Amino acid sequence: MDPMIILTTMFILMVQEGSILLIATLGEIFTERSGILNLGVEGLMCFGALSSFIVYYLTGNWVIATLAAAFAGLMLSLIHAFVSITLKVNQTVSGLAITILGLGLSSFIGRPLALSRVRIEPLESIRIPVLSEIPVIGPSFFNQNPLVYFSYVMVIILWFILYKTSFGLNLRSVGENPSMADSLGINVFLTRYIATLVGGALCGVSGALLILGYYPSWYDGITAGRGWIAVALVIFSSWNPLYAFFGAYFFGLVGTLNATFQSIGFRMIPTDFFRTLPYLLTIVVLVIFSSTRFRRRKMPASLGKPYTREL
Amino acid sequence: MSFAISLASILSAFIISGIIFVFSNVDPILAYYNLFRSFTNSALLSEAVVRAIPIMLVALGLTLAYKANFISVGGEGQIYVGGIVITFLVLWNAQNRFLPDPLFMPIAIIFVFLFSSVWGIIPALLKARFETNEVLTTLMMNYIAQIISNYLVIGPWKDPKGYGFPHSPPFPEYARFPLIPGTTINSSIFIGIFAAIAIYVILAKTKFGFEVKVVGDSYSAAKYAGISYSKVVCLVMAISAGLSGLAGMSLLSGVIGRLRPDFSPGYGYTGIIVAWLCNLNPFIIVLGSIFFGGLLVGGEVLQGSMGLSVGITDVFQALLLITTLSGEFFKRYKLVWRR
Repeated sequence: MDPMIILTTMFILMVQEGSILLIATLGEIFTERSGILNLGVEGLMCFGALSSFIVYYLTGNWVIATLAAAFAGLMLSLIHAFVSITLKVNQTVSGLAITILGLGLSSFIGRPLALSRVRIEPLESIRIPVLSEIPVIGPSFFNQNPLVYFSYVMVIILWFILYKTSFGLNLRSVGENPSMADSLGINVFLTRYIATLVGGALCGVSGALLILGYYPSWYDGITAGRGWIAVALVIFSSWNPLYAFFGAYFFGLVGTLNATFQSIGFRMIPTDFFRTLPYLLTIVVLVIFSSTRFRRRKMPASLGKPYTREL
Repeated sequence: MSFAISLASILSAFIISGIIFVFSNVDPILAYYNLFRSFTNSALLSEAVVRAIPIMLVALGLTLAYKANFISVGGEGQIYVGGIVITFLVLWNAQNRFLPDPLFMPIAIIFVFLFSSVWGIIPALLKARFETNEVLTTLMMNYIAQIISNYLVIGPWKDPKGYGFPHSPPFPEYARFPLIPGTTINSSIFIGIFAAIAIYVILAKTKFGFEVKVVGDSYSAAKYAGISYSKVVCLVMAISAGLSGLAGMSLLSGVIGRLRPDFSPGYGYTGIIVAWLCNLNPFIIVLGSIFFGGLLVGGEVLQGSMGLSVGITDVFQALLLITTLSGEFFKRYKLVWRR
């Protein structure tokens, strides 16, 4: 096979897989920057995917379907927000509960869909003139469905909000030192609520991209750990949306190795090995980026710590 | 007061799930009746206990880890590792006959425990050495273990006489846990009960248990007291993973009788919920596991009789965890009216 074709195909798959991870990672970055750890990403993604699938099947309108996914993610993350911000409960446990809840709800509601094997048409790609003519990069990055373009735009928007607006400055200071932020008149609770809800909505949208873009029918466990990889990518990208862009596509590339090696007939190693790669690599990346040298400066100082106002 | 709050938490979980039932056009009373039918019928109750065994083993192991504030979610993967090890031993022994039949199970229990421990120590070492987030590493290892187990059962360990079905050869009689006469409950339940006593004794009566609690309360206090964090965390995870590995063995040698793809329906995750809901108390966990085992049987009854997905049991479990967690808030803070 022509190596150019193989490379281009690899890149196309990389962008598809990477964009799903990217949107969820961006959402989680936004949440964690305010000091709230939401480990429910996997559940939010799955529930978002199911919601968008149902709405798309009923209306045929991907915009409404995506909004439904965002709403689904928002509603589930509202539970997490209430429990961890207002009730000050252990955020790790609450996040795990949200994951189990999201996966369980999706499996419960989605069962008739899984049994009837309802199918939808995947979103159509939109070719961007000029840019899509670039070899390899063009067909992969600039001939994709609108939700992939949404992921690129969100990188810029979130970066701008976090670093160039006063709301972003407030949000980051709430994540670093909530009592200081509070004394400066910033509403810590409201800021954290907003960050958690927006982040949750983005996780839902990432589920929408997963199913509207690449899976024509619904089945249980469709997210396959992508939400957890997104949580790890947040550490990998040092809580910065711009780095998340590179991290997500790097993991996207790893996720495509299985298909790529199968297509070129590589049989030296069982292909199941490549299926473990994203998970193995996540561990390796965590080890590298969790060492004190990388992490201490970057991690929001009050991540995972509930804030109680002194009376 | 505290009891009232617990009761209120459980009630709210029921009410919220009830609303979900109503929205899915299901009579909630009938649904709940089916969900808890195990507790009215001795055959189903016996099934509930069968399902409780792996849940119990996982939850007991996690209790120790959570007491050390090591939030492992690796039970599911460790179940698969245990399954891989016991299948390996069965296949190996079938070829080499290295053990007399009556000795096979005792030796196998030790091997399953040890090899699963090694798997569990990895995330503990990574946390102690590099401060990696243990939730993420243990979770990633779950996916890896499951993929390896499924690869083995579809590939090299597939039963040559299995008509192409993806499962290993059946385990011989000497590699099965005998059933308790008159029931469907297999004898691995005694491992569970022994584990409950052992975890209680470790936590309440030993120096190591004390160290676990100090590490769990405060990392810096442990350091100041000269307790080695890495030693405690590695040992805790060795025991925790060893018990979860035995849960996998209990599933294969006790219930299924061979290795199958995706053989654990999420017992590793149910164990997490049971551990927290039972307030990390070993004896309550034994009872809680039977309750959740009954819930799982009920979920299957619901799926069979009313066509609902077993996912509803996950929803109910998660809701129960969330409402109980929320209840903690009201136990911790006294509500005071202020003018």
